[in-house]
Amino acid sequence: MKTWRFIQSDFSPAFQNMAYDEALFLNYPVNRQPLLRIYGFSSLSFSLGYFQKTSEVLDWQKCLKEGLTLVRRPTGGGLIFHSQELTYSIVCSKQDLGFRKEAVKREIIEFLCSFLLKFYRKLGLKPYFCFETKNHLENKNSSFCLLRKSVYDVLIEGRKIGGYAQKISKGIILQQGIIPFRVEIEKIKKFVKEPLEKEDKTYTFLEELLGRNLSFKELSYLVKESLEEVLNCQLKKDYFNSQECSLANYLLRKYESLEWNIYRNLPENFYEEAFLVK
Amino acid sequence: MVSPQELLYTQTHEWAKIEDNTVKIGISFYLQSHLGEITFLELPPLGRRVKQFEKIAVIEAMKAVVDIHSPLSGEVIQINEKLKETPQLINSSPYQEGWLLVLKIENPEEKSQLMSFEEYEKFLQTTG
Repeated sequence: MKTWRFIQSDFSPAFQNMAYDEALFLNYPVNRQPLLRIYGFSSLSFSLGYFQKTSEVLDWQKCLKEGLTLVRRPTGGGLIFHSQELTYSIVCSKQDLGFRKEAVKREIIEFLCSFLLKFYRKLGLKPYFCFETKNHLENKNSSFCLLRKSVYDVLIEGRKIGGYAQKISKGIILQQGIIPFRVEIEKIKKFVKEPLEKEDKTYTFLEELLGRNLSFKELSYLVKESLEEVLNCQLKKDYFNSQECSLANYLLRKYESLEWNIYRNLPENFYEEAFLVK
Repeated sequence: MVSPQELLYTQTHEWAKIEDNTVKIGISFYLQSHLGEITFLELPPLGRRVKQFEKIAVIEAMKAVVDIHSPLSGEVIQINEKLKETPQLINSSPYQEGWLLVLKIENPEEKSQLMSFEEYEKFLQTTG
């Protein structure tokens, strides 16, 4: 049976979370060990998709003034408000998933998201992929992840739950995703440019569906178990290694900078220097 | 006009059309078709120098950010301005209107590390 790494990290600031995810992705070619990481955000934060234009999506100055953190992800997709949720990242290659090197992206995404269906079923819910519905691409231009439906998003009772996005380079995949316990629209309405309604029926979250709270620990276990079952692998507890920590410390310069988070600017030789830290 | 049969290819699905000391670069029909609709594109500034197989551009399709790599080492001397407004040209016309950029070649010998059309076709069928 294959073995994957399982890294359960703490609730950390948004900058640190992104730096560690990218460090795990960049370091993957060194030992080629696929992994699942489960984590949370230690303070209220927005994360933007790689290509999103900050000023079109958010009043970012107001966010910073009121103490919210804003970070730009290495992955694509729309704006996410990180509050009451479980966040995960997966780093692997196509071959780790049992696909041939030239496997198509859609097959890979479907496979990588299928553990979420298993996870929600374990909670007694009836999830399905968005593409299985008639109007599966509604709101595809929304800037807000929860309102934007894409083919492999998971729906329950016709409403989107959570979201995911990816970064792919030379066949190596980083998937970041969220499983929301609760979505607190009232807390974010004043910061986002797109009108948000409290009673919006486009999205849902676990507390609303289950009518009860679940612990982070309990959900972490179910996520791990679901991925193990889908991949037919064993997830073995592990920690960041020293190379990953050094790389993450270096990448913090990127994720803590307004130049990256607001404008998507980086010094030209940023990544060349990143590899000198090893 | 660019014929796919006349191009050279990388294992990461970029194509290269070499003319004298320059190379025009794009992504293959295979890659664009499997990424889905391309919604965003980031191209390098003119004058940027890049090494063979290093990241040269970034695209987003179906919430995935995908790195595009340079088939040869060189200096960016032209980018396809049309793609800034219409990145979907990469989907609709990957070998013509959807080209990405042109490099001034630094080391012509590197082309020996690229695949011919026939080799690329075989690579798609047999690699696994």
